[in-house]
Amino acid sequence: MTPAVIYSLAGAALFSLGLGGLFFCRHFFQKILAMNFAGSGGFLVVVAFSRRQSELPPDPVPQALVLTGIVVAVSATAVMLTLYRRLVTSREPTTAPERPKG
Amino acid sequence: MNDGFIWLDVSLAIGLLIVALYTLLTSDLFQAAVLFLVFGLLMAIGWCRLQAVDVAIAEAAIGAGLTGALLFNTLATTRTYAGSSSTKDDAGLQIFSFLGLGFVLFTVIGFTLMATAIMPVATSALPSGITIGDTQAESGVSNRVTAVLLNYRAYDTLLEVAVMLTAVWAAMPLRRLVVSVQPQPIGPMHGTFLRLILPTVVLVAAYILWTGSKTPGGAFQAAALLSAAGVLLIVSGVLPPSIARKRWRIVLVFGTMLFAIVAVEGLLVGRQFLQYRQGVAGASILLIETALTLSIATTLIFLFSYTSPKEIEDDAVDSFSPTDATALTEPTS
Repeated sequence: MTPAVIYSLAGAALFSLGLGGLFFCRHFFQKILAMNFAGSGGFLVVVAFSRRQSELPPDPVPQALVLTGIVVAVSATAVMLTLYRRLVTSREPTTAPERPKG
Repeated sequence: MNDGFIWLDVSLAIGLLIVALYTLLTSDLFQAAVLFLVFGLLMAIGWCRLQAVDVAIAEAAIGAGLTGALLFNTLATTRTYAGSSSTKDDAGLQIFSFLGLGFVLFTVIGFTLMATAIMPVATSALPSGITIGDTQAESGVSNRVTAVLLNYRAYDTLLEVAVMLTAVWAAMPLRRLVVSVQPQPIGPMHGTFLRLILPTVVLVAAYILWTGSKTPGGAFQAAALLSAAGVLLIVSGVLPPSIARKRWRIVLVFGTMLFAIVAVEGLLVGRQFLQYRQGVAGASILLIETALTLSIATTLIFLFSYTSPKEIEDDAVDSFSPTDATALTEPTS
């Protein structure tokens, strides 16, 4: 039970949580946060793979990829927030529509 | 790293999941934003436990800090603080959703277990068997992550900065035009704080950029610090929120252009694409990193300013027509 295993499991659970939140959160702001959680979960899994063998030094390639991924995720979040802001100020609904009954 | 701190990893992992769950289930958006910030900082500790210090610095600065600033700014702009809790009304959908989520969880965790337990460990080796350790001295830097980012996988970094530019281009048409904004007077304490902290931030950013070749650090972390300084200036009212002036756009593209020029320059002289000249790899990397720092900091500041709350009133938007364009102007440089 090395840290690598723990964090890869946590990353998997976090990814599922983010995916579920993306679908089942009603408010768009929380959908954006859910996408970030899913991304962070994926990053955890990738970096945990870089530490699979504790004797070796950490593998720098996954860490560089995750570094890139964090920056790209922030850019995507910024664009999503701008779109969200336009939604609100144009007085469009900010929650997913109700599922029709029956 | 099987030391006695396994309890820290377990509690940190559980804490991450609890914070994430709380963020998605709360009905207060401000609370969600704060919890996201907390989540980012916990992730930074997790990265340190996985010995990914470069990633930890970047996560704390960009993932937690700048994203948190973006979230709070957006909340202040939209002034909507009440989220809605998950569906309470449709039991069938809830059951289906939990089953589906459970299935995804099962698949992802199963794959992860397989990958960690069964599959053989691969080191980062080229098909010819050369590993990073063999060619470390040639790469020009001794920080392996920087070497991967700007030498072995420089193409990914080049595309990444292009993606950031694309994000600015995507967000730019969605910004709001600004009527003349009066610069606010700054109190004595606030002014002293700014005068003390801003040079420090610039100095620390320059140091992190410089030391990125030997110790954890590099261009992205330094850019995050500089963007924090820019955010501080915007929030203090020193810089007008619509900072996206035409002159600054040159700085925006400067880093990517320089990177692309260095990448192509090798082709003209007979080397490969993105192959640095023998012996000056370290200097090339530092040059590219400096330009990238300025560019990425500007990009992050632009992206922050597009969520800024100091914009025109909502009523004015409804009555805005193209013929009124003269009333709303780009701020003069």
